[in-house]
Order: sequence, then C-alpha cells, then structure tokens
Amino acid sequence: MTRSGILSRLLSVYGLLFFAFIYAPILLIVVFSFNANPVNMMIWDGFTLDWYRTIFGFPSRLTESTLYVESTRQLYAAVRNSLLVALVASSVSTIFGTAIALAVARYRFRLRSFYRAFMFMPMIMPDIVLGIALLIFFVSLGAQLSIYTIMIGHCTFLISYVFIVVSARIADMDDKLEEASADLGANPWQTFRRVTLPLILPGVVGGGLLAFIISMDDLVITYFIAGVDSTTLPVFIYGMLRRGIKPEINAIATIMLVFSILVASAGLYLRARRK
Amino acid sequence: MEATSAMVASRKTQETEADPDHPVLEIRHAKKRFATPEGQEVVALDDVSITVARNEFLTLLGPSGCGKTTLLRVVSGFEDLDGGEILIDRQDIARQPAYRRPVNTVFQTYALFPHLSVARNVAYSLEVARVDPAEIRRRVGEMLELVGLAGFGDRRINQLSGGQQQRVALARALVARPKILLLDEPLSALDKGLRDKMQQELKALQHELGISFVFVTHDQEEALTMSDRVAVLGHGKLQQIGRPQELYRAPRNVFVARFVGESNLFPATVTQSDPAGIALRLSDGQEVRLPASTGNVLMVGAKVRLMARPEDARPATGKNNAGGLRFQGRIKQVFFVGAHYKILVHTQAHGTLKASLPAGEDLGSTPAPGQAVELHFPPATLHVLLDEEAGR
Ligand SMILES: Nc1ncnc2c1ncn2[C@@H]1O[C@H](COP(=O)(O)OP(=O)(O)O)[C@@H](O)[C@H]1O
Ligand SMILES: [Mg+2]
Repeated sequence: MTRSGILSRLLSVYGLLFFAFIYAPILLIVVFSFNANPVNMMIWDGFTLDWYRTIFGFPSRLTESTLYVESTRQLYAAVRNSLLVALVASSVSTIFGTAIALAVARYRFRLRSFYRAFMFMPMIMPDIVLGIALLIFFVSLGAQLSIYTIMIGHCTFLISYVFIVVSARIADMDDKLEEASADLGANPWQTFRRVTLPLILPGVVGGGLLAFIISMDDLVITYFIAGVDSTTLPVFIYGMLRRGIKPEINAIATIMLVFSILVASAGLYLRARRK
Repeated sequence: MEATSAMVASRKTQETEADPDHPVLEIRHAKKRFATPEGQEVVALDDVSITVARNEFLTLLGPSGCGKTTLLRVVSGFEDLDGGEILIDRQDIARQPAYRRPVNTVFQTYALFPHLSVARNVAYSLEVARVDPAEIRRRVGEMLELVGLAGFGDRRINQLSGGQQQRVALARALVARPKILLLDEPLSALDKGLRDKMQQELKALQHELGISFVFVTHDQEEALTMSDRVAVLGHGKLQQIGRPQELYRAPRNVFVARFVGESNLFPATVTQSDPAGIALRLSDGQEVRLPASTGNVLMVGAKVRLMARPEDARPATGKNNAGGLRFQGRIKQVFFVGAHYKILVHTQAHGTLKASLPAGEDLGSTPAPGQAVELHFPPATLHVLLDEEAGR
C-alpha cells in the first residue's frame, strides 16, 4: 500500500472516531431510554416504553413501585415554563437583534464599531458570570425572581445571537436595492416592508429559531435567576439528576433531542427554500 | 405619497403646466466634498453647472473617478450638496428626500429586486404609489412590450440574461414616467454587440417617450453616438458641454481634446496676432498661419497647443503645400480597421503621431511599417487649445 493510501485510510478512521466521540453518548441516551432495566441503565434488559409512559403520566411499572415519587405535574410545569420563556425571549430578541443589526449596517453613528464589538460580548462572557451578574442586578433592583426575570435574562444574550445571524444576512444583501426602492418612490417604511424585510427574512427566522433553541437549553444562567415556582426544563432535569440518574431522564432527553432537531430542520428547510 | 402620485401623473403636468422653454433640470454651482478614511478630502464636484432641456439626451462623460456618479446621486437625492442648488422644473429640490423626487435611476448593477418577478419589479413604483391594480397591469404590460420583454412578466430576475435584466431595469425606471431618467453606465456590463444594440434602443426609447435622459459613461464613442449634448467632466469640474460635433471639432481645452476622440497635440508659441489671424511656431521651427478664431485674443508669446485629429492627416504631395503642418517620419505600426488604416508614425521632433488614412482600392499604396512618410494637416483642420483643463 502506498504512503498516501495509508494516510487516507488513517484519516477515515480518525473521521469515524471523531463522529463516534461526538454522537456515541447521544446515541446511548436514545438507546437507554428504551431499556427495561430500572436499576442499572448500563445493562440492556429488553425494550420498553415505560419511561415514556411515566413522563407522560400513564401507569407503568415504575409508577407502581413504592419508591416512585409523582413528578409528572412538575415536569409539565417545567416544560411549559421553558416553552413560554423561549417563545417570549426569542421573539423579543428577534425584534431587537434585527433592529440593531439593521442600524449598525445602515447608519453611520458615533461608536458604531464599538457597538458592533459590544454585541459579541454576551456570547464570549462565561455563563456563570452572566448568571451571577443578572442575579445581582435583579436583587439590587429589588425584583422578585420569577419567570419574567428568566425572560429578561435570556434576552440579554439571545439578542447577540440574533444580531450575528441577521448581520450576516444583511452583509449578503446588495445595499443598492434599498436605494433603488427609494428611487422608485417608496418611503422608508415601504422600503423596509417591501425590500429589506423580505430579503433578510431567512436570517431573521434562522436567528429566531437559534435563539429559541438556546433559550430552551439554557441551564447555568437560568439556574441563577429562576424563581422558586418558575423552574425550566433544564433546571428540572438537573434537579432530578441530583436525586440520582433515573431512566426517565433518558426519555426526556430523547424527546428534547427530537424537538431540537425538528426546529433546526425547519430552519434549514426555510433557508433552502428561499434560495 | 402625494409626491409619488404627482410623479405618476407627471406626464399630464408636463404637457399642460410646463413651458417648453425652461430646462427640466438645472444644476447650479454644485459642490460636493468627501472625506476619505485617511482623513484627506476629495472634491468630487467642483462648481458644476449644467442644465438639461426637456426631451434632451444629455451624457456625462469623463474618466473613472471624475464625479459622474456623484452628480447623479446628488440629483436623485442619495448625496447632499455641500453648495449650490438643484432645480427640477424651476423648483429647488435639495431638501426633498430621494423618494419624493420625480427622478428615476437605472443603476449600473441594475439593482433589481431578486425576490420579485419581472412584472412586480416593473410595477414597483406604481405599487408604492397605490395606483389602481388594473391600471398597473396595463402599464406594466405596455412597458414590457416597449422594452421587448412581453411575456417575461412571470420570470424571476435570476432567470434573465444580463441584457434582459438591463431592459427590466429600464422598464422599472420608466413606468412611472419620471421627468428625468438617470442612467449610470448602464451598458458597461454588456458585451460589445449587445451594447451597440442597446445604444440604439435607448436612443429610440428616449425619443419615443420624450423623457429627458441623463446618461453616464466613460466611453467617449458611446457618448458621441447617443447624445444630443455631452458634458465632459474631469477632476470634479465641468470641462466642456456641447453637441458631440462641437466637442470633437472644437474642444475647449487639452483635457477634452484628449478624452474625446484621438488627437495629436503640438506645443506651440504665438508669434503674431492680428485681427486677420494668428501665426504659431512649433518646437521644430515650422510656422503655421491660422484665421482668427472667435474666441480668445491671443498675445504674442503665448504658449498654446495645436490639435490635429488623426483622420485629417493626408499624405503630403506637392499640391497641398500651402499652409498647414507637415511632418516627416517613419511608419511604426499599421492597423487595418476596414474603411481606413490607423498608423503610428515616428517623427524626430514630436515623437509618435497618430494618423488614419483612407484604405483605397489601390493595394500598391498599402502603408507598411518602416516606410518613410510625410503627413500634412491642412490649416482648416487645426485647432488651437489654450489651457490644460478647466480651472487649472
Ligand atoms: N461615499 C464616498 N466617500 C468618499 N469618497 C467618495 C465617495 N463617493 C465618491 N467618492 C470619491 O469621489 C470621486 C468621484 O467619484 P464618482 O462620482 O463615483 O466618480 P465616477 O462615477 O465618475 O467614476 C472619487 O474620487 C471617489 O473616490
Ligand atoms: Mg461611477
């Protein structure tokens, strides 16, 4: 075998190992979410849907055991909180992130480049720092921690993500188009509605979906600023884990995974269709 | 809003209220400076005054960077003037935002809306002016027909060739009947054959619609072919404005002579100046007498340039000895261009001269590199130039 043949074979092995490294744990979770063994998840004991039945509140082998603590209602509350937070925070962030991206791209003002750099800050900042900072901020304002503080907190960094995605889209757009629109008699609002918005829409939708997923997924920052009765799904799972890893966590994780993949594919599909 | 519908209705107003004698567009002493990122200042427009008559095809001609685009942008409202004023139908529009001005533009890159169909692109100005949909459909159809794109209304922009996109851009800019159509090098992206065709079509379209066109190009041939008048811009200044023949025959300065057509320029000194005419001496010692021109009175001793167009050169014979300029030299290169030969002649005193000689049937007289020639420019073909360029 030639040298380059060996090298290319090594490269494919490396590639396979790389994907295994990334996806094997995720795959394991999906597999174990169907494992019937209630005590040791690592030992395959046959196929079951019990864990899914449990989290949806149906009677199952687990719910009949004496040790079982009913938590379906809390789980639902957490899911509802998460969805609500993600929906509100990503909507607000999409509007503001898009507005800032347009302003930075279209208007010359003082500190413009500073502003642009500043928009990246929340992304670079460690979550834990942001979480503590937000906590101190809310406490010093005398605000009660609640689902609203989570929404506000999420907005602070989600705006950055939307800003970046939308900015990339604007950079791709021919800025003569807006001039052409004005030239043809469209006032600034008409230009925005008829030219700018339709052309950046894929970026806006993409940014919004990204923000939604990131919000759904956030643990660290939310952990600091969540009120007692406003647990989100990641915080709830984290709480369950502290009581020991239970098989239904695998089922929850699998459902979250499927949900994320659906949202992301919707985003990709929309983007592909626009082109 | 009102202004846009006024613009849509401008065809009527043009015919009724407008008195046909006053210019559609007056640019008075326009000044525009830009600050470069390095902190320097570029004077893009330096006291430019131009008027455009109703129905006129005016071309702005000049090398790249001379301020042509800036002048258009000032008229369309995308740049503010630093000084001077702009009047459309005698109304100062400097304060009006771009979308209120009765002026439309064909952009160099077309700037067609990629998310809209051809018909919706053309309909754009009517849609934003809330014209009745049936009326929009009728006018868009008419316009597409006029530019030769009937039946293309449902196409997407990216399904069109460059030439077709060009036509859509034209239709889009013309459908609302602006008082003035601005065209920024619209043909520069097309290949030669298509460009020639579009030149003719544009000219015909302008004639048919009766809208004033302000056309920008850096191609002097294009400018001469298409325009009623040409304004030559150089270094932000108006160098000369006039009919193509005037610019070609009587350029006002060296800049125009160099830019419009090909020319031979000879430095010369005025040796005699009286009401009957002037005498000039070239650096090689030969003297030439020219009849007095109506322009400036020249002082004896003044340094000027003498311009001779290549096509005015004739092979010197005994007969045409009287007056004019004669140059002896050797042919360096010969280009056959159909109706005539372009030849480059090397002379001792003046370097390389350009001449074009008719290609007669007589193959024996074909010019060839290395041949000795003597060229003659009759006095009537010579033109005296005073300055290098405007304001220098
Ligand atoms: N927005 C701008 N900022 C700085 N300089 C500019 C700007 N627009 C044009 N200029 C300068 O003004 C001069 C004229 O430009 P332009 O009108 O585009 O020339 P043309 O269209 O004749 O090629 C050039 O030197 C150009 O660099
Ligand atoms: Mg230009």
